[in-house]
Amino acid sequence: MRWGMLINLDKCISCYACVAKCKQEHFLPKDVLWAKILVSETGQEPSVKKQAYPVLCNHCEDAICVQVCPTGATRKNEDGIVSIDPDKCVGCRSCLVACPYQVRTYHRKREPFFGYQGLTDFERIGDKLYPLQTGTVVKCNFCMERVHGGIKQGLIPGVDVDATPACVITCPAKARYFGDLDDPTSEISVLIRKWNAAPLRPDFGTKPSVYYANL
Amino acid sequence: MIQNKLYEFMTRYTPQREWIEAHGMLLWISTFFVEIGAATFFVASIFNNMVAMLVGLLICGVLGGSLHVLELGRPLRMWRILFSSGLKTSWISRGMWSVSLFIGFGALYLGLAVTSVKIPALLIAANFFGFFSMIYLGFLLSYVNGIALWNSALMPILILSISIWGGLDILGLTSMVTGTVSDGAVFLSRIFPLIISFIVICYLVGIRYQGESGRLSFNEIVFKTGAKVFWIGFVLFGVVFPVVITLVHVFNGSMPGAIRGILPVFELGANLSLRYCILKWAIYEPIIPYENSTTQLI
Repeated sequence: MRWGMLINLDKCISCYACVAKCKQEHFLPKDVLWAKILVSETGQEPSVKKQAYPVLCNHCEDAICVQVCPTGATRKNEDGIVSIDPDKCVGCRSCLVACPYQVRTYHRKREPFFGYQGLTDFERIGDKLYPLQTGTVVKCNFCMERVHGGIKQGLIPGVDVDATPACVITCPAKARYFGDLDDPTSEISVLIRKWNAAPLRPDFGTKPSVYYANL
Repeated sequence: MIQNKLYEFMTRYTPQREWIEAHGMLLWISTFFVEIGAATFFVASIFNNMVAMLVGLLICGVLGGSLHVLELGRPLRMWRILFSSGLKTSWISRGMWSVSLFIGFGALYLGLAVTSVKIPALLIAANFFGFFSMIYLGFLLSYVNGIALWNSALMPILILSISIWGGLDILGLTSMVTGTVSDGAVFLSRIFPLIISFIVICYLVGIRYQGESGRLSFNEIVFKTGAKVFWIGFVLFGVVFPVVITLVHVFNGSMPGAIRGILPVFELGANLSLRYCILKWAIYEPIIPYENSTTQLI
């Protein structure tokens, strides 16, 4: 089993709902984004093309971040999800530097969203429910809690809402798909073949689990 | 990561910042001390200079080791680097083990040598782990395939050679203070700038033709924002001055003590400058298509 994501760029309307939902789901502090939208411009006037690329951790099959981690804090789970154990991370940032996709963030210090007002209720709740340790590296975990929690309840990730990553269920354009890449009959595998989807920069050789259709 | 416009991050060629800006500068300084400390011990052991061996050990352990730990986001968890599964694949873990064992064996050797008991096996072990302490950063950087400047087979050789260069300088300074100057060490330290120049030229020429980000890194270092650090910091102080002074010495026959003392200081500055260039102008390739990406850095 290898969980993966497919993003259809033709469907993405660049509304940033995935970015906001990810931020809310994980109570991410200021300056930390696990899901981002990059905007590119190609072509020359008058035929300039603007394209939004939602990016997140690629949960690579040959993840360099796992190999360079000196403490084993970054690990690859049996289901393909690359996660960080915050209690083991020493904050050396070698994973962050080694990641060719630069989707990791060093959580340097806890700063309130609105400095002069102190912490908001949202931030206080986040500190209790989803505490992120300063001095460690953080990144997208494919909403591991939702996926694993859903499986325990007998739900199917990618099909049932409660077992699917937050960015996927939030996308109003239904541009994101989640599922098992190792199962050739799963919706995501079928669509990857149908749309001839590919990961970003496959030449880095890390075999990402996030695919893009209409690149 | 420090960035102005989130939606532009990694859309164009993006410089590495985590290991050279703000808190990350400690990595630049700490690896410098660790490596030249281990190299000082190594070259001093060849020329049997016990004082310089002790100086090398102290530079590596006290300056390099402490700064290395301070560079971590969670310094109190440093022990996890030594006692975890990371050793199998991580060069940071291997480096930390090497430095620890180098300091351990080196201190044991020197401690026993004070009581006139010299155990060659301890010296061999210290230098063995000292060698890995000198070179591990090179392997660590060459592993990063997103940065052409680092992803080079010459990187470990470059790091090893500039470490030995720095070690020879510390040995020269220590020898001046203790009055135990060795002709062999002086000869080596005089020809090393030329060896380093050759390796740096090979390395930079290789980088120049290693894709677009390699070309950009080369241009930044040699012609653009890094040119001052490279040409003045490294070339002038590390190559031109030493070579000119050495030539004057050869033809004149004597070298004033002040110049002999300032030369290693210049070379250590050049060593730091070169390391700064390597870390500062490391550039990631963009992950999405972007027009004019070849001409702009974020």
